[in-house]
Amino acid sequence: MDKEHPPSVEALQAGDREAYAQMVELYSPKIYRLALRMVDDPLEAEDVLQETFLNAFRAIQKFEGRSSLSTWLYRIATNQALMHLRKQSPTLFSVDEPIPNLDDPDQRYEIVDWCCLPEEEFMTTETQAQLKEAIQELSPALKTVFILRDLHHLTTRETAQVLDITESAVKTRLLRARLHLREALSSYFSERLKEPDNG
Amino acid sequence: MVEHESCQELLQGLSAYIDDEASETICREIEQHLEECDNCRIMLDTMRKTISLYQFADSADHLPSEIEARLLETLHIEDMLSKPSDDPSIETS
Repeated sequence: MDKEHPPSVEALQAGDREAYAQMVELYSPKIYRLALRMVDDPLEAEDVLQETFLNAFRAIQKFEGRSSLSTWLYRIATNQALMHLRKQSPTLFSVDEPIPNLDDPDQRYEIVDWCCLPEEEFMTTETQAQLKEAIQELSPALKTVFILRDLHHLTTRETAQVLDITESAVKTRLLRARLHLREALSSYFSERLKEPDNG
Repeated sequence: MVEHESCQELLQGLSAYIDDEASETICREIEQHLEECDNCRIMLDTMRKTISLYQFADSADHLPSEIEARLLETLHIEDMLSKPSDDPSIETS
């Protein structure tokens, strides 16, 4: 079985079970990582993973190939993950929440050069927990774009297709997400820099 | 702090610059500004570092073999392919 290339859509639509297995083999690690980062819970991430492929198998006949197979799967997976997030926080949830204005004159940023910290500082359990906490603070709208663009390396266009938003909205959300995460880490690391060992 | 007008402009173009999607003119303007503005250079460096830390952390997450096994088991349900999709979010694109 070819584990590095996507199966043909024709084979999938013909019910070729080897093509299904090829699709699962190729995309399940990516879909699981996406789900885990989105819902932040291994059990729920497994649910998202299973629902994604079950729904993809059931809907493959409707797939017309206007996007790539991977973009189509990402779309299904993202929708499933967003549904789980909606269940987790139904009152707080809004995918289409307004994006803060970048021109806000009151916005101030933490300017601390923490890149010079020793590499082992970035690998500590505490730092890893901080990374996790900061990304979970992002709204679903920003988190999704950050995960697709920066962690899964989808293009702006592919991300726009997955989320059914404009490319301009992808760019704005990505910048907001990156700014938020940078800010969160800057606050954290600026405290670490004040510690005597890192002086 | 990012206080000057040119700093605010850099902020707007920062993502595109990092992604190599900014035009040559914008790149030149940003690079010229970065030579003069330590705060914006720090902003750029720390944003790049932020992204790389997340990419490194994410690459460490693997699909556990027991989850993969349960997935494969679930997908071998015999009547799976004959069921119509019940997910309204799935479109034909």
